[in-house]
Amino acid sequence: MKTKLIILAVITLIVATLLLLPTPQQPNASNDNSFVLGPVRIFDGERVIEANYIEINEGIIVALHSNKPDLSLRWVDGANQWVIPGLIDSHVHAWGDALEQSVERGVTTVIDMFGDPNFLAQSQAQRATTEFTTAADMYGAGLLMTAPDGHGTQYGIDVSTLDSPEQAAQLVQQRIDAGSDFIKIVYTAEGAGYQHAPSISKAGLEAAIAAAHQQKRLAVVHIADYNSAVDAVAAGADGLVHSFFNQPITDELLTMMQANDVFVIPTTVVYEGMLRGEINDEVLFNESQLDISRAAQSTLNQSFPDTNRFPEHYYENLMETTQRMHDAGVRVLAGSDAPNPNTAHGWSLVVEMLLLQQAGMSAEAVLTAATAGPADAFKLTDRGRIQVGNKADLLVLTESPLDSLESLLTPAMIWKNGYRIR
Amino acid sequence: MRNATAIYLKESHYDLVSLWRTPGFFLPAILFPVVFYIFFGIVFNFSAAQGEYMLVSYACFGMMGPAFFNYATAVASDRAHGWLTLKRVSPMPLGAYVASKFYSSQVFALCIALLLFVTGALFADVEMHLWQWGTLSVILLLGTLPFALIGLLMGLCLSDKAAPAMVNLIYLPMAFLSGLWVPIQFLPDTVRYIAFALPSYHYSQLAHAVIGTSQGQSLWLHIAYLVLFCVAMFGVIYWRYQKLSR
Repeated sequence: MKTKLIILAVITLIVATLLLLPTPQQPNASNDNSFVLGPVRIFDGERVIEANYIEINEGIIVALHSNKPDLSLRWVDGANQWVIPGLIDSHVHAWGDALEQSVERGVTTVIDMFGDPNFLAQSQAQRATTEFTTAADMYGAGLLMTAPDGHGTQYGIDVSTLDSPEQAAQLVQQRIDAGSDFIKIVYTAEGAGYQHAPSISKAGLEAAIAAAHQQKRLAVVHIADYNSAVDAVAAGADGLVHSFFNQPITDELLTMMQANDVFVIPTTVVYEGMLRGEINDEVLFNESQLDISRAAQSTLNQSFPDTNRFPEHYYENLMETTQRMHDAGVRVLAGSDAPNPNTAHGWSLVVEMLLLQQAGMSAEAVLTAATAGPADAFKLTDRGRIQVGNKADLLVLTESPLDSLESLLTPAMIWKNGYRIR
Repeated sequence: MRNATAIYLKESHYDLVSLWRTPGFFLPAILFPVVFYIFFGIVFNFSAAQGEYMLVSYACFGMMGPAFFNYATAVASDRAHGWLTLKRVSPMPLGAYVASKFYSSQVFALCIALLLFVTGALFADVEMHLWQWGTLSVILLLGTLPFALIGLLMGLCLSDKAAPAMVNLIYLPMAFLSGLWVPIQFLPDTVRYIAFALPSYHYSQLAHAVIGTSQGQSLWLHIAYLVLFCVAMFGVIYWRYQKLSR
């Protein structure tokens, strides 16, 4: 009898433990994706608009109202807080639970700049729908275009490489067949003046960009120094996925970028880790009320090897370049390069936005750089703006982000596909 | 028939009791994988963004341990001390002896799994659907059979002094080469070929399939490999046992 009781107790304990283990959030009746949100102040991705109520039907914004509409829809009290579009991180490398981590911080879409095509394919079916999800939507380059043993081949993913310009068209076709939404090319100019992995040639770069354009895909280029940036822009790149810091930008390059309407994703936060290494303490770790997960802390605390190899003025070069590009009307987009050292998914996009502000961009411009800006640059027509027809990926903030971008660190509510997930 | 069942139950019960009375063995055996997971799966996790992934990998690693050890060391020492001979001359079927050891290693493994799950949930923000937690538990438990058989064979071949050391020599490299410590995609190609030949790789792939992080090979391939591996092990164990009897 006693044995039976013990066995019963043990089994109950096991079952109870299993039942109590945390499970992901599920949609339910009080959290369907049709409702009216208001009254709220709305920053639509570019400017503050007149409307105060957002009407959402099955995850899509169907109307904007000035007054509370007389509808039978569920009403969510906005308490005069601020609403902005879900953030878009224009430079990440996503795998594992990166997409879940992103959305928890209000990053509802990420643009992956190199990763496993299978992971991208899994996300591609989801992103067109407004089904319940607790993961960010993902667009991606899939595999990148690089030289044999070049940057991008060191991460354990098999990457077919570009040996000669003649292969460019075939390789681009291969990428598109594997699901790449756009083409990312890694390039370092000859005599770049720092140690780097082997790079494709200038002719290879031109051929790759031409092949991408032939297929009507964007061609974005990974560069890390001034000379490479000049070559990439001259070769017709649509965007640069990093900025550079070995010298400030010249008028010559600035003019060329304006003329070609090239966008740039400076990824200041990852460079800050190499050049300075203070921003995470300032913005994240000294704020004790922020609940930063262990996984995030571990990558935020990592640093690049030989961090002290760069002269101090490189950081100023970087910031000056960002400011000059923005002042000249070059589209600057916010991207974190998470989860590289000094970054974490979600968190670091907000840090990047604060850095862009420090570089001299207005709060309004910084918000656009993480919403409508990337949506336009990457031709994502159903997101990035609070407007009729777009996905209801929304952030509610207690304070005006135009007064304090820091309010993005603690969003009051997050909606993904019209489902409140936080 | 009723009698036979009773013998199996009794032997299993007493095997567990004997383990329970040697906390010096079972406590380290249970805590080792948990400590290992906390160290390398959570605190020093350099592969980032993979709470669920690391938990599944380290759970596979942790579950293999008791299967290996409980058989290898216990059988080797029972042989050395003449216990096995005594058991064999007793009327108890030998199957009861083998089954009781599998039972107690399953109890062990279940404790480890639950501890790891709770640790992962508390400290690594791991979230899974209930069916995933459940399926994972079942796969993890059933999948320990091949390792139990390896352990049994080692127990039948090695002396009681050699067994623990030899188990580590097989257990730890096998875990590493199957990507249970560092995700398989970060390991060199050569390692991936080696992994394919190891039961621990196929075991972990089945577990990873539950959370959608397997390498994408067919589940039937993994199952077929594990079943064939078990059949082969049974054969070798039978042969070895016959040889011992002579």
